[in-house]
Amino acid sequence: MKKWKIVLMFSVLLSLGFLLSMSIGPIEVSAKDIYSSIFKFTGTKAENAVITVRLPRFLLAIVVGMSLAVAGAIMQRLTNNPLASPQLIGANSGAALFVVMAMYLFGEKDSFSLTLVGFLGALSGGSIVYALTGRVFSPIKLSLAGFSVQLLLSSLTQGIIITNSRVKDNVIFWLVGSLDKAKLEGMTTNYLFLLIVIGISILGGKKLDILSLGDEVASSLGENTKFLKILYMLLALLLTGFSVSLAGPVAFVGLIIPNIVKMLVGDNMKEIIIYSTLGGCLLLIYSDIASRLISYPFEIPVGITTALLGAPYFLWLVKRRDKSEG
Amino acid sequence: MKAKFIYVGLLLLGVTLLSISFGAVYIPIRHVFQELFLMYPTESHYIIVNYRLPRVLIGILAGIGLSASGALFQGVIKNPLVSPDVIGITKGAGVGAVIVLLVFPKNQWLLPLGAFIGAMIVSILLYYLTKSDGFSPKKVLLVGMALGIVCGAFINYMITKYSFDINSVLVWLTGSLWGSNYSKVFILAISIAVLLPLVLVNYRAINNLILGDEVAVSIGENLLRSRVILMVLGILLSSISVAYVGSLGFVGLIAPHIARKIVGWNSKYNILMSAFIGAILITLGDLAGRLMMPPVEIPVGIFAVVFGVPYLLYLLSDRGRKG
Repeated sequence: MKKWKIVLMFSVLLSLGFLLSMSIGPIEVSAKDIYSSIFKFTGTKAENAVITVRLPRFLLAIVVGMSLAVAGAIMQRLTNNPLASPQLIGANSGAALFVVMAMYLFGEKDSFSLTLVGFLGALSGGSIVYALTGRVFSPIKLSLAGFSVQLLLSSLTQGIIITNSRVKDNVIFWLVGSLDKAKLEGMTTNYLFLLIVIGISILGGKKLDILSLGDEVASSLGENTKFLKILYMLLALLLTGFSVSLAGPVAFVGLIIPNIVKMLVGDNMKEIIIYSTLGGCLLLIYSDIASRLISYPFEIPVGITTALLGAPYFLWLVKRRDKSEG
Repeated sequence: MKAKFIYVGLLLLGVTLLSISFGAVYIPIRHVFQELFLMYPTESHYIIVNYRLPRVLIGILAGIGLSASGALFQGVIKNPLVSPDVIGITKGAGVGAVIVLLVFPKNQWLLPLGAFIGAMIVSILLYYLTKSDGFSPKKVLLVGMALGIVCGAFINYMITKYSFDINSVLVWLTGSLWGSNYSKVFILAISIAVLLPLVLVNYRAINNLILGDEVAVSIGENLLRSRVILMVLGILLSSISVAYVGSLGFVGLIAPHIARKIVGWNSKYNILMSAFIGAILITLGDLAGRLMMPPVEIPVGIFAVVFGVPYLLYLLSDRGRKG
């Protein structure tokens, strides 16, 4: 596919997504309201809905979608396995466990420290899976280890929730992955931080390409392969921890997007990462819109929608892979 | 080999007696003996007969069911990390249970039925989706996982939609022996008594499958038929257990490993030993859950996980070292 076509499609879809996501919900919002709430705010009900609820939510969808998709792209490249994703690596559930623990132990702190906690969780979840699979990331081994670890970490999280009865619903909603806690204030650090990390990943795309040539070739080209691998895995885990601490463990974004992008643009890692950011935010924006519509006016967490999309996709991916291997 | 089983059996007996004796109300072990072995009514008669005994029995039976089916699946799918949780069966039961708990909260007696139906639906789907591949272990595993994910999403949907009444659901999803009674014991006991011997009779088929498809065929094993029979048995065993105690994770995964350390790979011994170990694990976990911070009961499922985690890690690191 031509690149300008992709970019054009992306811009159209993004604008459409923006309009839909601003206008769908219990309060009616017209195109004029959206314009006035951003450029000349007067404080009507509709404008408030846009500024305090829908716009932050839209931004959060973009940010979370981007970071999960990029994390997935990096993980798939590093493990040479199309099934690798924040969820399967155990990073999602690890981050969720740590964030829930932190919330129960210290109360709800500012979101940036939760991000760091989430990163630590993602790191531990990821390390467990890594320790379990050893160096060989065959799909079956990775899926099994990943699912077992996920089972284990999420039962621990459930245990914490059952034995501590305060603010249960909130946490449950978050645990499924939802955007409904989005707000604008205090997010600048988070969003800046994220952009920097994604920027670094894009710049490092070439190194990832070299790494995928195999350890020997890469080292003969003068790369310190071990260092690079660890560095990129840390970046991916950082992105995962970041998004989980903001929106909970949203499932499957990191699995679906990089695979589709790879089919569209080929194997150049820099491009895969760039287009993954675009795809990730689109997926999350539209999943969010769907979550508001599926059982209207009741809203379901966006993680459910992505899981419903992702599970069949996972199945298909597995089948296709089998065929290509003969 | 016999001696090993006798030791483990004695251990199970000891744990059972302890579990009847300790709890929110302490019952002297002397009374437990008199009640159970001499049929001699003591002052603790009421508690023992109406509360402790059915609870312990349910725990033992569910432990047997979950662990035997875990051992069976690990053999048939040839992967030591498989358990009924991983291939989606427990999640399917969860869907049924959650529907009963949230949509028909007044009809609690439907719960086991709902869970069983849920597990069966997932199993049937699993059957049809993997049929074209001759039920290859790899396919069963991955398709099962994907089905589990769909079920998980549905459970989450229900939980968030009916968020005012989720406590009972959470307890069920974790796995607990709370609310055991004799009618449950009765049904579970009969099912296990029918299913377990059927599994044990087929031990040779499992052993052959463990050797690998080619070897199994050359020995004269009908791969397709034995896989189907064994998996149906395993699904029945696990779903009936899950129906009564909730989706208790990890027991079915870990018990077979402990059993393997004790009696080795031969399914003839391994499955039976797994059943014993599973029963011990659940009884111990339930006991610990009642003693930890009374009067609050910690569901046994949480202990299963807390004990299970370090063991699983140990197990896998061990495997990693070996290659």
